[in-house]
Amino acid sequence: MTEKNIKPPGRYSDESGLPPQMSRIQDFWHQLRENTLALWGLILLILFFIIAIAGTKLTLGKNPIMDPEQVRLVDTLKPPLSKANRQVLAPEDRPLFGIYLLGTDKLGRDVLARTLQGAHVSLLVGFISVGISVLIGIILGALAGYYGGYVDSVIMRAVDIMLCFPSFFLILTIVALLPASIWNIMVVIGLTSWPGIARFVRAEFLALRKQDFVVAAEALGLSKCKIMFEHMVPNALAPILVSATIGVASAILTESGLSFLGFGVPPPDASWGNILADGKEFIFDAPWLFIVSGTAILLTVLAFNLFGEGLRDALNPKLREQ
Amino acid sequence: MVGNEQVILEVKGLKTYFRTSHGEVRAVDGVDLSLSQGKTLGLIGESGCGKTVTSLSIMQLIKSPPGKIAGGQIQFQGRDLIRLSERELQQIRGNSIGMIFQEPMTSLNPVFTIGDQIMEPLMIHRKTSRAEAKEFTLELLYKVGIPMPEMRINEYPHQMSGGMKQRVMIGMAIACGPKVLIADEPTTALDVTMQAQIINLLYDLQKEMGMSILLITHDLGVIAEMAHQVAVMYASKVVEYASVEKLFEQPLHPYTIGLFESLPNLGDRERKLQAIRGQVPNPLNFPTGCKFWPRCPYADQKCRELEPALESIDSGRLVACWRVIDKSSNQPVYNPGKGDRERSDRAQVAESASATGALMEIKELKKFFSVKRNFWGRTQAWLKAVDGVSLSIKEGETLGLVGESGCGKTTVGRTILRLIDATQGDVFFEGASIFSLKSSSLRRMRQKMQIIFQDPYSSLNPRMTVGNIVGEALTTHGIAKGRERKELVENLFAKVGLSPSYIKRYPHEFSGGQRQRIGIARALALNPKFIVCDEVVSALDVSIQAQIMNLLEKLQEENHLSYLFIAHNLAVVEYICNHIAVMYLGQIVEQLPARELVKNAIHPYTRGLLYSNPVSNPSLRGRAALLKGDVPSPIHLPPGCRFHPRCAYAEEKCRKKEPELVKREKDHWVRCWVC
Repeated sequence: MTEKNIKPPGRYSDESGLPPQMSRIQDFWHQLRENTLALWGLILLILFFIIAIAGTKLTLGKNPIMDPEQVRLVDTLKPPLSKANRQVLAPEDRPLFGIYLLGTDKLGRDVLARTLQGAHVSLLVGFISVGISVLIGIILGALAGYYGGYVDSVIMRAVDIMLCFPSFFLILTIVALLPASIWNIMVVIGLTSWPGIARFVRAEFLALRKQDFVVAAEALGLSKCKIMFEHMVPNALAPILVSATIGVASAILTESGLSFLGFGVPPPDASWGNILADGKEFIFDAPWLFIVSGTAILLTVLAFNLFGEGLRDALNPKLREQ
Repeated sequence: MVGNEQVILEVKGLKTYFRTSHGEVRAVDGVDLSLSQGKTLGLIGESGCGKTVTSLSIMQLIKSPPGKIAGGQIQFQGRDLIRLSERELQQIRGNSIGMIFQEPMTSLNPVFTIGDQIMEPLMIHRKTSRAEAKEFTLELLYKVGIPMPEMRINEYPHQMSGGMKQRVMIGMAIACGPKVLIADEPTTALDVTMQAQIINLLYDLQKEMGMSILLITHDLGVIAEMAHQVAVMYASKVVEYASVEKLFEQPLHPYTIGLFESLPNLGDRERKLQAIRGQVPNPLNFPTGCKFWPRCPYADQKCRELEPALESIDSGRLVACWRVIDKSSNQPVYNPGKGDRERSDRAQVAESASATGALMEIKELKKFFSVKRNFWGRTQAWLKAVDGVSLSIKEGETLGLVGESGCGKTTVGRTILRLIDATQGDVFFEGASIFSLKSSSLRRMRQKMQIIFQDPYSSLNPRMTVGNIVGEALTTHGIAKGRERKELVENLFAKVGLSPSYIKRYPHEFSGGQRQRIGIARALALNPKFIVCDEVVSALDVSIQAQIMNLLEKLQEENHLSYLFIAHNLAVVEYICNHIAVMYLGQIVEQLPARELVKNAIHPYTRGLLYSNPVSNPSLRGRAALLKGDVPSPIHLPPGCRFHPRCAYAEEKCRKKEPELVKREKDHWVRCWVC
């Protein structure tokens, strides 16, 4: 070589540089946007959240703007958009703007106010009970998948036993024995719906257990707890997230079912299930009662399911490559 | 492209582009190839250079969208394959052009017997009856070297080994007597012994049937063994084209030279590997001018601005390099002798350092896995993965562990680090028994012993930033936190040749070689004394492989590290190790200093491995593979010497009594009755 190199050799192997960093959220958003149905699900969900939060503000407290418990015996079973009886009702007893936007029930309570209150109940039930079941599912599934052997056998047999019971009737039995309260319902739904999640987590852990990065973490001397919950759980999160979203939908459905049967949220608190139950006696005389609450349940559950499926596609690296 | 043979397949100006969300990828950008009757054209290059896309384009198997063939011609038997209808193409695929893929495991359908899978194309293309097809299939299986075809024809893919499956794939590809066989990395997923068998098989089949073969590979050894003409691909284009003899005698393009200089050769361990710096550019972001200039030591202003086209140098040689075309004074030279002194000095330093005591002592290590249990959970059959292995590794030394896959190499590596619990035996590290350590003291001991893995993709947690991956253990062991830790991590990155500015990124943003560097940085973080390198370079391209091997050597010198280097590639092990232990079915069969490997190895298995290793010298091709068949299952071990069913020298005694590992000379141990 007579000439010196024109370009000095770079210090690092990656002198050609990496493309600019694309954050995970950008990437995820990019994937989700492709799926129209999931996007609709997401829009409905955001709407639902806004309604539920606004509903809490409007209907709770001592002197709420819209009182879901105000009984007006002069205005029973009024159809939607009918005006309140100004002669009899005191101003503080009248609905907002003096109009029953979604009608009234057999006690003259404002269906709109009750539906708003119900949204908040449904949201609470969905998230807290799924939170409980995800927590139990992750811990038990992780233990079973990581340790294998006896631990795995014991946990998985427990799962099998849980799955043997028709869960709705199990919940029904427990709720019948416990005092009626929305918190009891959440806990009971949470305690009975973890087996599916535990199975998901276990399956993910069995696959992850063989990956070299888990072996590497062990070789570095990290504690088992750290390996399981800091290294492996984040990698198993995608299917958990998906099943949790769909779990929220089914918890909402279960709560509605319980309330419909009279085992759910105790009166005078409203939930979509007991509005529906009240409406069944007047199905021909006051159809708005079941139409409003039924549609609310339908749309919410549908939104969660659609969004859950979109999430699954967006989080699945195999589908992402295509 | 010049030649008097009849050209059977000609590719002219082929362009295949892919539409991605980041822009258009020109995977193949103006490639010319011509394949002569009865000859083999080798297509070589690193991954990401467009070799496979070229072969898929020839078969018209590019999925559209996102891919499309943007230009060019593919002339085969007087027709342009690009203009044919799907129906006409079906007549050609599998009939006049056959194809074999790299991964025999996934290329066969697991729910059909192999007989059905071979018979299917016969009945479609040749319209033969079932009985005729079956007879022909038996003949084919016999031809591709499958023992007892009558039995095997009814087996399912999972019942066969990788090599057998690849034979079946070849049988399927040649079933209709194709004129052209496209072999896409046909031996990459196989062991060297199986690779040698498959190369011989393809060679014989070609002679017998007069097929032309388009051989795609990244392995110069395979090219030397099989090809007649060679096209070197780099960054979507052919950069050099020559006959195999001329190419191996004097490569011209700097990239080809770089490939040769980064490849370790058996019996040539004194030569220091010259790695090509950097990596294959991303097709979305090709450099202007010659695409190789950022990695080329000879590049000048012209190379950066103008892209050279393939030009004829002398008869039948084409090169795309300004330096060669212009006959400039600074022509790229292939100088295999470069760097000798430096390397042999280093080797001596290591060998004198190894005079001190053993750092790690492995004694009669055994690891059995139970594979069959009865109703009560009692084990009925054992898989003896490791069966009485004793080794000792000195400070600053590299001990190589070689053998075919399934010999228990990886199990040894993981057991001595107590990542798997041993069945029997003991391991002493600095005089202390590792197996009797309690979990807290074991965790402290782990700081001194680390491991680097084969697969750069599964060895890094995809949900953590690379900085956290490397630095995590520092926090756990209370060595450094916060700012201090960040500085240490940045130093580690610089040490393994990565820019410290990347510590906030995620593993998926890096290439294979860079990920392997991150894995090394992670292992180095705790400042260990001993590292198990488990096939660390097997998954990498030649040029990256040389970079990593040089890096490992540099780190060994700087940090006085000892390595247990597990690999199946003898040339790599010979190059990097001081001592070599050859493993077969859970036992060490021969152990000797690396510099004596080629001359003095005597065990028939070691010799077989040496013979199977492809030699980068086309004039030596066509040697018979010494090792026949597959590694037997470690569940049903052969009686007597474990190697006797595959050994050409086996005697009566070998079948009855198991030999011991006996010292023959200083540092040379052999387990064999006859040699």
